[in-house]
Amino acid sequence: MSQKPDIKQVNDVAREFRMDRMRRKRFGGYLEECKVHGEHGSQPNGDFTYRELRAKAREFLEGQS
Amino acid sequence: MTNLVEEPISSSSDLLELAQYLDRLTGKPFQFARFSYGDELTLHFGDVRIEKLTKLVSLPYGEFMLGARASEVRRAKFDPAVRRLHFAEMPTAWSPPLTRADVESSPIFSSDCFVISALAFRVEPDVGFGFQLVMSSGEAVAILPDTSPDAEDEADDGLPDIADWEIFMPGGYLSAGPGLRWSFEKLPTSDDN
Repeated sequence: MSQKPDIKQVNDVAREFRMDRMRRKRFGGYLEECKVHGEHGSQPNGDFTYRELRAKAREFLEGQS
Repeated sequence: MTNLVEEPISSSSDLLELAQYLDRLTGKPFQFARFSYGDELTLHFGDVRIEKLTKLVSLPYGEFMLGARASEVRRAKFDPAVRRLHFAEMPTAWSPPLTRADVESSPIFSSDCFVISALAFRVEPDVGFGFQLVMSSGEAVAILPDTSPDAEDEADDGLPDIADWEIFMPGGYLSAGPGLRWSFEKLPTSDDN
């Protein structure tokens, strides 16, 4: 069911941005919400590239402050 | 941004100790299922609270949140009067691995049901820990570690491997796998945002 590489990439980006576990979980929810609202990544299935995930991580963390 | 250091308070391959953590799910009402990024199925139980992801985005979360990560999810129905169902004993009673479309077209659980039992089991030959959840409605799900031939290749993609399944619960984070290991980490009880 799941796209393992996508989940691993999110994990890796979350680690890079020093997100704690709960924040990593919320980040995954945030990314899915972005897709649901039409904010897709540039991958063929609308997923985000690694570079886009890093930009999303900044956006996510800045949106909390 | 916080920089929490999460120290494992318990880490083991002991199923009995793991069962004590899983027992916290017993009696908790099912609230809803949702997909997270990467098509990860998450199931939410217990009280629901709205969490602010950012200033503009909020989502409801259950106090217990089960994440299937990249593992297989199967389902089964049984007679709730019997209340006995174990994946390892009756694997043929379970569906093939579910797709996202399966879950979106047919709800994973009925409404108004609660957890009768939550248990982990070894997936032979020592692939890792499976997990099954039996509900009062006569429905059950099993989460099974990825044993596909691609799994090993994916493990070599340069990124750290991920758990086979995980449960966020009040005060802690339980994760199982990869392999025959699990851990419970204490997390802050209040929202740190």
